[in-house]
Amino acid sequence: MPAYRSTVLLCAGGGCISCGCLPVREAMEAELKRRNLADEVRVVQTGCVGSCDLGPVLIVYPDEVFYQKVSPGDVPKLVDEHFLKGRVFERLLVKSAETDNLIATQREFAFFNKQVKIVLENCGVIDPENIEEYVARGGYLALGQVISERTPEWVIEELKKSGLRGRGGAGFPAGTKWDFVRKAPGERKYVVCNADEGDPGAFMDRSVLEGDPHRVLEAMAIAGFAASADQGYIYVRAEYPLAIRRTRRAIQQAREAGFLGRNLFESSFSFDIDIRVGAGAFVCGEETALLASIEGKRGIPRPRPPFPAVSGLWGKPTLINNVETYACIVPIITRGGDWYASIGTEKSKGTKVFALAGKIRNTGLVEVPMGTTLREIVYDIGGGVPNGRKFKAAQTGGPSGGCIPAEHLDIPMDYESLAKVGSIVGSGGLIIMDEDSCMVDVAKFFMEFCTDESCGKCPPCRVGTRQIYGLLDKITKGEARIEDLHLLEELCGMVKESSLCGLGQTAPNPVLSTLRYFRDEYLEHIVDRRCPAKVCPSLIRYSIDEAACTGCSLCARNCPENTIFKVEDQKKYRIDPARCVKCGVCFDVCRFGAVVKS
Amino acid sequence: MSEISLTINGKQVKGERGDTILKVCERSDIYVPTLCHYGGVHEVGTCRMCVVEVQGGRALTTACTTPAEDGMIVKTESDAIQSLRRATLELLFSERNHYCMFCEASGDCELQALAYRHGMDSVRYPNLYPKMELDTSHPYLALDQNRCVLCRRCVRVCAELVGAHSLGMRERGIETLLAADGGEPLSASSCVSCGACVQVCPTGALFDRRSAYRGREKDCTTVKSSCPECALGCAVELVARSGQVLRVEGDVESPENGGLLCRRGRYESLNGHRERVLQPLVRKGGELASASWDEALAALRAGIEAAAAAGGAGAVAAVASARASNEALAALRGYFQQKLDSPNVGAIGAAASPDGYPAATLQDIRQADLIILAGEDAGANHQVVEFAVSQAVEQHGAALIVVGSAARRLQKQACVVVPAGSDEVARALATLTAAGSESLKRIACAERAVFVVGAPVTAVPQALAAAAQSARDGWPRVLALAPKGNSRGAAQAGLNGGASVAKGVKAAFIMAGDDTEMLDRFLPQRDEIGFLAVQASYRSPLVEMADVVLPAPVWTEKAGTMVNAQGREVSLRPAVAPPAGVRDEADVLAALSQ
Amino acid sequence: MDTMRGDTIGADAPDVAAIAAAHRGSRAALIAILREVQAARGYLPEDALRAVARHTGRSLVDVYAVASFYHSFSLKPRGRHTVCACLGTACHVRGGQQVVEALSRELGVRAGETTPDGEFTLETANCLGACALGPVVVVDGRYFAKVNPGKVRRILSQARSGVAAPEAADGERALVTEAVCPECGRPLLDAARPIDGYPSLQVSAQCNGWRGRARISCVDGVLDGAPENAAALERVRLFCPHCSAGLNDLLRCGECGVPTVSVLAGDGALVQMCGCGEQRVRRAEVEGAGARREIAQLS
Repeated sequence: MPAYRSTVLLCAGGGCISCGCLPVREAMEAELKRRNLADEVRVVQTGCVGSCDLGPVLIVYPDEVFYQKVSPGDVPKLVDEHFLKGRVFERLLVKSAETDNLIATQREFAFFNKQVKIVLENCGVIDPENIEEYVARGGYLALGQVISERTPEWVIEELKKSGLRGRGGAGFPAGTKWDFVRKAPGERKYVVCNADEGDPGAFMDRSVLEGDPHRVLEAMAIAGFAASADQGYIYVRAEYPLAIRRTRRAIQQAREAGFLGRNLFESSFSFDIDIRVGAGAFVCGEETALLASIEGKRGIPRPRPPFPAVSGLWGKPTLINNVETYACIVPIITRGGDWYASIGTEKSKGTKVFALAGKIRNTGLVEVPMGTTLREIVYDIGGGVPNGRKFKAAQTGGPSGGCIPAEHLDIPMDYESLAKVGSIVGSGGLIIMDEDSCMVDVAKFFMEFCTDESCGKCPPCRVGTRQIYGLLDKITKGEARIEDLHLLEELCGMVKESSLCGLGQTAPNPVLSTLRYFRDEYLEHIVDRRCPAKVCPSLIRYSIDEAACTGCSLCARNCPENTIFKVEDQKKYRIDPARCVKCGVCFDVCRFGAVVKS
Repeated sequence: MSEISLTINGKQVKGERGDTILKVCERSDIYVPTLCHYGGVHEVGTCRMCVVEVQGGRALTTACTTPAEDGMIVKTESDAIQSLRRATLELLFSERNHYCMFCEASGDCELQALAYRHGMDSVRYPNLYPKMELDTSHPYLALDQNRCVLCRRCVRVCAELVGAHSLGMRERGIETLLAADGGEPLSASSCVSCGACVQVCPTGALFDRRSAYRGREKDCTTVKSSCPECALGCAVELVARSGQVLRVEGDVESPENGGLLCRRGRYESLNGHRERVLQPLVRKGGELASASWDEALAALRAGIEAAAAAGGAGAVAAVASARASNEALAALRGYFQQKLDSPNVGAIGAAASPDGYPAATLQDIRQADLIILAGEDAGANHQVVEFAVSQAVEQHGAALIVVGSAARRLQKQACVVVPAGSDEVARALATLTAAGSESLKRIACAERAVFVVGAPVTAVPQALAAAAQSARDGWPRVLALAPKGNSRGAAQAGLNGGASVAKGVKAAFIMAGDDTEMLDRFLPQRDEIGFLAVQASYRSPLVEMADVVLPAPVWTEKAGTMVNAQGREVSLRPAVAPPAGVRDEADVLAALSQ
Repeated sequence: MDTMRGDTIGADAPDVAAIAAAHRGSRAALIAILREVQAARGYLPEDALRAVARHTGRSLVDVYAVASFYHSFSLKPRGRHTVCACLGTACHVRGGQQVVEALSRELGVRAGETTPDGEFTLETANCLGACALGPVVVVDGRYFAKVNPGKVRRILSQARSGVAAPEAADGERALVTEAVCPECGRPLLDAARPIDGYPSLQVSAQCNGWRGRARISCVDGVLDGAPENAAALERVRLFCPHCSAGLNDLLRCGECGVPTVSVLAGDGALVQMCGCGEQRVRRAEVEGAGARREIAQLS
């Protein structure tokens, strides 16, 4: 085996693949071969590094030099500079947000150095398609140890000590849940991994499965041992083809290596895992709906009790956790529950991965200890709001969560503190909004999402979300009256209280939380018929600043309704406000800033 | 069963372990509003009407799905609960077209009743009212999606009680719709037309076409009777108004058919357009002409007694349909057997029960762990049996063995199918106990086996009983299917089920009643029989060839008793009076004997 | 009425039978079976649903209920191209909704529908997990990042035309498949640095004090890589990266009048590219190195 002088980690997370990282890999390998470096430099395709907006991303070890936005065309130059001349290729380095200085290594990059990686410790470091790399980093040691030296009680005790809470949304203590399943009477039991990451704006589960799938498999096997189950299912949403492919491959490799299957580690314990792929239904993230879907039915939730721990898959006791929860298990087993409990806050232990997106400079996955303040995440890690705009709110928890306004920027991000301000940790979506985001529009967006994703079983959710959406729509169109606001609040309360499952019960949260912090904005829409963020089409108008207009006609030619016309005898254009549908195309295509919103 | 005790609305009440909160409330007469709940099918907790407050619980919970626990403290009424229920109703009313005044169900609608009860007097939300088509393709029932509240009662009944799996939900969210099969019109679907969905629909979404807009329940009279279409004698309720039977409903209180009926029982007996015989007819000068009862009876007696006088008692025959009541059969025998001493008295469809086994009820079938079907096609002629078998197999995991070509739908669910032509069925039944066969294994381990047999199988080999080693006391049981409502009663009266009139008969009396199937059988023999008298409800070719015709009431017009397949006596009760000029068969024959 | 009509009618479907057999006709595998059938047939036609019901032992209404519940199943034929716009939160706050509306307007169909000519099926997704790139539109599996309504027409015309370059006549719109600097004759087109999947022209650019590399789309001449508001600040000046010859001061766009970039296309034709989306072929007797003077005469 050749001794490599250097390793190139090439991020092959979903984001980088859609930016074209695979041609970069090909170019890199070809170039290394051409320069006779193939035996000295190794290219490893890893899972998501986390900095998705910088893709395609390369990290060159041992120096951890971090290259961003690499294209195949850059590769010859990069190889020339970095590997032959031995100097950093500056053109592809990241610039610091504050100082404008170039950042050479991953360590120096604030986006990375403020994070504490437990769940994502292997993501972006190992090749997810190669089990040997996982094993080389201590993989499957914990499983072997647990099976040969420990009891299920010990595992559950460690888990309870760690204080780990379910990362899927509700934050139920994981140790307690495992204990329920272990104690539930029944011959046959199941372990299920919820990878139906439906919250728009959250993609950490996808990254874990894409970047470190064995970690989840090992944890599920440990769960099987603790709960005396012999079969596991991973339910992955269909929108994640790469995660499905890599997880399938990982299962195959683990079976071949003897980490899954019959009589693991020569014990009497057998455990195997199958993949079930969803088919596009957010509600399947709800555990009872997920189970129905695994059984091949419509993904419709049922009332609890009985809880899945007692009667789950095919009526058998079933342990359900999501990907991120399972991803915490191996470190807890290896390093102990006490170690894990030392991270985080009093009631929220460990780390949490947030998917940082929206109006923020550094987009991507960040893993921080529970209790890290929102400000640290937004400004230190995220690099703040770009384009000189101001932070307005952070939305957490997706369609079940709420908005945190600027006044709460110093809030510690943990279960309790977020609940106090009317939001939730949820699955960890963290969408940053600036002044250009209209909060009524955001609430309407989430409500439209819920209407679309409601399974249609119970009337409060099926009809209630539709009616809430209708009221919000009325507000954004400037057609609402003040009574509608009261009706909206009453209806939100009703849907929250009487819906059957979590989807309906939490659907009104985005509305309630924006009403709590941005009531003035609602009132402006209703009373003044105006959208301060200039988002709601009915309440804004487009016009052309004739001083800036060069008469290039681009807007007129792109206008779908032909409402832009040339002013007679002048090289200027104008919009007919009566016929304008406010699609914003002219605003986007104008290269001279002549189209203005007001 | 152990008893538990709960505090509901401050009152101490008792329940049984395994009860839901709703069940405990029902036991204790505490009203909890429901819409999606329907006894006998699994609870889905969809409609959110039965939300109650459980002390210490996280939020409101549905009474229909929450198991009652000892010591639970429950509140079923409070201002908050009340307003939530009202709000749910308001949403339901805003969803689709629930303008009551044009609805068939208005007055009998559970949604409407709930709205009144909860004081929901207006809807503050915009009406969504998507335009939806009416499905009127089916001859007996119609589906109006506009009135549907998506409670899924019909879906559950169709799947769990009927086993037809014709109805389901399609799409999702606000677009959710009730659908049959792949979205076909009902008439083109796999619907078995049993009408159970219509009977359980709480609103006017699924309704009976015949009785639609012909009156609310309070304007109608409802009479409990028994269906004579086959020997099961299903308990029915006849809903009538202004001298007309509007519809037949299954009697939900019956432990046997529990509200279920088959297509024949619910629809076909009412939906025929046959011409009634409304007054006595006597052949005069080659033509049938109207006559008075006295005239007709005199002509009848003259014809019969003349033949008896000429050819002896053997020249006279009387044949009844086994649909006739015990009382009518007795009167027939009174005149022909006792008075005239004719040896030729029979009842078409009479069938005795096989010896040696206790009779199985439908309830037994539902609880059985092994069901063996042999002979007659239960699916075609005894749908309600088929429903019960489906339920046992699908809901309770019973094993099913099918011998012969019986019950095509059930063959898919069977673990053993023994193919046999209709003349080989009896022999094939005997092969079930062949050493080492799968069927023998099943029979040997069954605790509660039920044999369902029908023509041409008339007996169940004792070997089968012997093979059932694990059977509990009183098992295995047998349900012998028979074609007519009173097949068993007729056999018990000693009447044989022969299908023709003996040679040498010169005068025959045929008591067909409302049995439309039997008269045609005698058409080929008409010429051999000199004098023919027919007692029938409907006109038919044979009626036109008779010398004397006596009008008879149909089953919804008459009183009497029948003995069903299990040997239980069931009653016919009149829902409407027969047309003027139509007299009860038993009375007429009794008059002859005097 | 035939009691089993629901699942006995329908043509025999050997493909469905094979798929169901691979799953051993398992009831629980229904979703997987439907997905595979859809992959094979393009959508889920009624006869396939009946066949699935028959081979899995489930009732037709069950299969239909499942197929119509999940959004990734389509019961209607789909278009040749699938346009999927992400409506995740991150995309939404960056204007994803307007992108969907623009797509819908351009195609004349609503989300979930197929154009009557069978060309496009428009879909929306509730987050594709590519939040950093939002708003995202995926056309036939190809990702378009940071889309706005103004880019929609371009994306659709790309999908419609595919990659093939038309043999354009004089004055027609063209896709540049080969381009050399009219001054030094060295290649400008670089397949290794594509824009939206097509090769781009590599140029040096200068504007308002900024200097750097920029790329020009070979499809419609839109400039990429310069500061976003470059055009609004001042005209961008473009140069050949090899010989530093100015590229944009020769001809003006016939549509909007701003200076265009002129390059030689593969077959010797001159293609005039403009940021407004116009690019027209000017067939002239110009060839290889030194053609610059001749172009100057043209202007």
